[in-house]
Amino acid sequence: MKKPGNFLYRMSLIFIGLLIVFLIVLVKSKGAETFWTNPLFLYYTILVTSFELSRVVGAMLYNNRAFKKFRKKHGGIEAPLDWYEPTVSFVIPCKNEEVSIEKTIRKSFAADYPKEKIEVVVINDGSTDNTIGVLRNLEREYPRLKVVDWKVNKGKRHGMAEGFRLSTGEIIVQLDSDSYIDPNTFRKLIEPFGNPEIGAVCAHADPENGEENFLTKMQVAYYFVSFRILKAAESTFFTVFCCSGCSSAYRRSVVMPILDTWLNERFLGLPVTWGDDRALTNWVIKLGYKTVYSDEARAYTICPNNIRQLMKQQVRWKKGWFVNSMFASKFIWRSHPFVAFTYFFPLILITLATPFLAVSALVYHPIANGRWPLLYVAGVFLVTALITVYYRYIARENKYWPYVFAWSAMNMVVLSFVLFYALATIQNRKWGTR
Amino acid sequence: MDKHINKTKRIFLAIIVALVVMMAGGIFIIRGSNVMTRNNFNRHYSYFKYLMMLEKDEGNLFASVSSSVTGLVTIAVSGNGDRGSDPGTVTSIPVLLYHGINNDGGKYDTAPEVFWEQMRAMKEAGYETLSIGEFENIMNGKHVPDGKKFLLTFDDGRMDSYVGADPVIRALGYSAVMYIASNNSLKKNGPHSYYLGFMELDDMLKSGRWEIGSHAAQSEGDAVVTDAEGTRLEFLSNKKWIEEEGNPEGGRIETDREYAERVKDELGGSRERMEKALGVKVASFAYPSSDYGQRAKNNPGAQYVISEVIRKEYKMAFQQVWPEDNAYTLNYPGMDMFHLGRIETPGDWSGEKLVSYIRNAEAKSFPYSEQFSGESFWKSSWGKVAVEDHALKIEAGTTTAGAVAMLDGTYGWKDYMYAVSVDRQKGGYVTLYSRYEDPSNHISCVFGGGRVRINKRVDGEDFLLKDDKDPVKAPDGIISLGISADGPRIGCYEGSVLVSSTTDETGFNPDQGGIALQVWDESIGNAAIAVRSLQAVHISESAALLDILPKYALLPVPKPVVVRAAPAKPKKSIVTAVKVFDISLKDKSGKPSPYIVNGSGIRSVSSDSTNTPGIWITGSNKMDVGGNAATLSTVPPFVSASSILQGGFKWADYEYVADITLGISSKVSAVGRYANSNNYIACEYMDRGSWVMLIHVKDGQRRFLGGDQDAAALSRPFDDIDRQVGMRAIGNTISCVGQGGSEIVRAEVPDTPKSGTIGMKVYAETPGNAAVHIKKAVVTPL
Repeated sequence: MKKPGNFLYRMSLIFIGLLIVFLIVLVKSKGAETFWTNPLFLYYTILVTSFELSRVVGAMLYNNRAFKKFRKKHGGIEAPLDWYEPTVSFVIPCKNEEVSIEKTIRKSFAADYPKEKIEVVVINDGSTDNTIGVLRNLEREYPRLKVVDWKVNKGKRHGMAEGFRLSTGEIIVQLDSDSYIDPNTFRKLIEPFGNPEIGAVCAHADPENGEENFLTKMQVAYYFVSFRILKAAESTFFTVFCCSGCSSAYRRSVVMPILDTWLNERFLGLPVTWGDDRALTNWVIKLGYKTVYSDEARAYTICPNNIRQLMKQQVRWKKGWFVNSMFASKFIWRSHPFVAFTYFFPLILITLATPFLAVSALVYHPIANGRWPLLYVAGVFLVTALITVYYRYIARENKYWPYVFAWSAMNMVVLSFVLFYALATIQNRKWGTR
Repeated sequence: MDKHINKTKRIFLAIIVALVVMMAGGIFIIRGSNVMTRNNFNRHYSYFKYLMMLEKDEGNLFASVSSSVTGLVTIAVSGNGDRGSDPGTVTSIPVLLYHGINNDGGKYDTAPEVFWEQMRAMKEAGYETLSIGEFENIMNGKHVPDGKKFLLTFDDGRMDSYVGADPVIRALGYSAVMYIASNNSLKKNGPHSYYLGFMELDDMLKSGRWEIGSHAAQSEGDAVVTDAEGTRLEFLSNKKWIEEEGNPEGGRIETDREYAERVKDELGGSRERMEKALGVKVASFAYPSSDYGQRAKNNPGAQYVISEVIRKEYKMAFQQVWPEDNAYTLNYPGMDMFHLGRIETPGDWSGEKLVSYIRNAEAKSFPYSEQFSGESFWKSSWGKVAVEDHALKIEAGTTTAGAVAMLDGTYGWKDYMYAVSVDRQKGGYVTLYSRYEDPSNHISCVFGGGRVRINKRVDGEDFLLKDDKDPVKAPDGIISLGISADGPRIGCYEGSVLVSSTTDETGFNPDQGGIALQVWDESIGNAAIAVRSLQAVHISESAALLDILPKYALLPVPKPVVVRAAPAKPKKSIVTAVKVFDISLKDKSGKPSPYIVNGSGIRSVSSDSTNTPGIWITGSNKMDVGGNAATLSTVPPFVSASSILQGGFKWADYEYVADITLGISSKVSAVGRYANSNNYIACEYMDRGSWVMLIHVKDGQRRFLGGDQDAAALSRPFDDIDRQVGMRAIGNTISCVGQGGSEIVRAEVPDTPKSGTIGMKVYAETPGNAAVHIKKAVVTPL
């Protein structure tokens, strides 16, 4: 870990970080000047910036040893860490995945874990390609592979529920059909469960196809930021709101009692077809368990490589975020007041308000007043730069950091508006990934 | 575990609170200062840009600076011997005015690069800036500057002029004065605002490069609504419209008191607020729109009110001077400190043009001569004036009866003689002005109509000092004319012949001023002269000049005019020049009896006429009797005419009422308690008499004692109504009266002349345009 020049590298990053904080203050003060007539705006910019800085601070306070070291103190199992080896079931719903399902299954069985404690349950959710053929072949190879073959597509949530019911492991690892967990880091995903208060663990996911094109490179940077910084910041308070569907583990004893409730969840009278992972995690939180993110458990997934798919994915995620935020907001302020008021509610406010400010700064003012949105853009990019500095600080080897800016630009002009599209089409419950 | 989380929460909260406090604090601190504004960045950036440009041309600049320094040394050495006695080495200080420095290209905008080029040219020409204090000392004659100096000023307190000009003056080591309106600038304006705010002003003052002057408060902007229709006029000189409920006309215009209070606040209030807010003394004022009252439309007393207040509140005040007016371009010690002129530098002038413009206007020294080739140093606001074909051509325009040309740079001259050779092409009268301070103050010799007259004008009032028959047989074609002024002695020359002379002992003659030439004729567009050469010498050299002037033969006259080198017996004034006699206001039995002059009884006479009782004597004007009225009117180039009644000098308490109709004049004055031309009381009826002012002229200075705007209008000739004007004087109580002797305005005047005769004056801005018809005048003893 210690490289020559590492100290200098980190010191210069700290210096740059401080400089950026100063510049942010400067830009905000300029913005505040222009909008002096509207003090609310000033308070809002301070709120937004503080919020964004608080995410970085939260990530800085993230410590993956934290959820392990309390095992002995509070946990029921006194054995050393390595000896905590509960039985594990992989649950993988899939549809038309003849290309990638084999790799997912093979990687699952290859996990650095006692083979007899691993089982894999695959639900073929009405695939119209040769997925079932692939599965049947693998079934012969791996006796601990259970295949459920549905001729008719029932939806991911049903697939997951079915998998949960059929599985037997103490810990259920839920994978997307195109993602897998690095076998060598598999134990890191299970380890936190040694602490009985922890109900779900989220692995760190990276796109596997990151090198493919500009869009995927951007997503590598985006994944890193949203996992290693945003989820890590949530994990600092043991309240990760979304253990992402591509690679998360749940304690069986926690999720089984609410499985039917979760499965039959409705929003505005229709079944919810997206945000399954988020919904499940929220249930875990509601039940009083802690949810964490492990940066050591590494998972890989396939990310959309074209705009259309990316947009569809984003729309789905936004819908899921919105529906589940509504759900969580009913209880979170009572059960987790600190997280609710330092993170959860500010996030909702900012996510909903940002598009309006973006429209005002990027469209309205340039047209109506001829005022270029220099300050707004500078503010956005300075915060991005600060995040990037931290990115560089914790992952010097990750070469995708410049794409954080590209993602930020795209977020500013496109993605923040997707929320409105998502809300407008919230009654469209089609899944639509690809 | 929860303990751990709680600890983490505390740490997190502490960091976030610290961050928020730091950020919000930082935002407020930075927001509260203008250190990090784009304007400031531009200022500093431009400063370094200009420094680099200077650096690049350093060799060049250094060479030119050193050469100009050498030039100065040479001048200083050559002028060393007789600097004090040589009136030619008069100081003249240019004051430059800019409004905006930006690329908008408007009328009041100068592009930054143009401003840079102009200032750079000034620097290279050796000009350095003055502070207001230094300028004041020079103007007061307390300090003689070494080297070329100028004052740089900016009006309106505009942000762009500060941002655009500051780097330039900083790079060149200059300083400037910013004239701000207290209503626009004494607040915390944002960095993007049009006007400078408190923060910038503070910075400017701290920089040492800027001083602040007042551009009035401009509480209602630069114009006020003046009538029910919403007409907007200059705020300082016009009375504003006040809407009133219940008033059948919807409102009224300000009363005198309200107007005076407003002027006091605009001038004095703005100064006080600036001094309080900025902690500096504000000594100078710049008239917004160059309006010192002369632009009044509904308020003839404006100039008096403004003049009175400004002299109380400030040490100096600036107006604008344009190439096409008849004011001296530069400022000279001894000038009226409240009508100093500023050059409104056009945004399309090159630096070279600016420097040559200033050089042309700079003080001229003796001996001065011109053959009229090349550049013109002459200014004109009336008629056509041009230097061409080796002559100064002065011609009446198509709508003017004459033309006048003033030699710029001669204000500082005192005692001198000059002669011109004039080709009299058209027109009857040629006037040589001397001691020409401004159009309202000068002395002159008027040649024409077989006569030579010596006139003087003080504060716009004309006095004929001498009127002689022209004794010289003038040659055809080119004639040499001259005028000399030596203290109170004034002489007019044709060739080397002194054709008229007088000594003006009133003590209020203009004691300094330069040269102007005028041609005039009774008919429009029929006057033209071509001046071939001009020679001016200090009075001590006049003998040498006379030597080279042509010697004309005298006309054969019954009594030859005796031409003497020294003027004839000094006379005290035009009044004392006339033998005093008295008209009694008592009848034979000793009872008080009114004295009546009816129209046909009024006769026109000139000042040297016989002293017959009961007639009017007139100054530089004419008095015609026709029908049953006497008409008092001006003769171009004069703008006013006056006439007094001989024989009334011992009258003390009386009522004087005259039946008049007005010609096209802007004001007519009933004069009473007239002791001499410098001490009398006047009731001035302006705006057709609807505005009446009581004026006390004491020792030649006019004092405004009171006024009323609601008087009944006087009639025009076509109105066919007689109106009455006049004055009632009882002891120190003086009233102006209107119809039937009704009192319009009254004032206690402790220092009034205790006795004095009556008179009538008429005035109009356009020469020859004033006339009043007097039908009857009645003086009733009280």
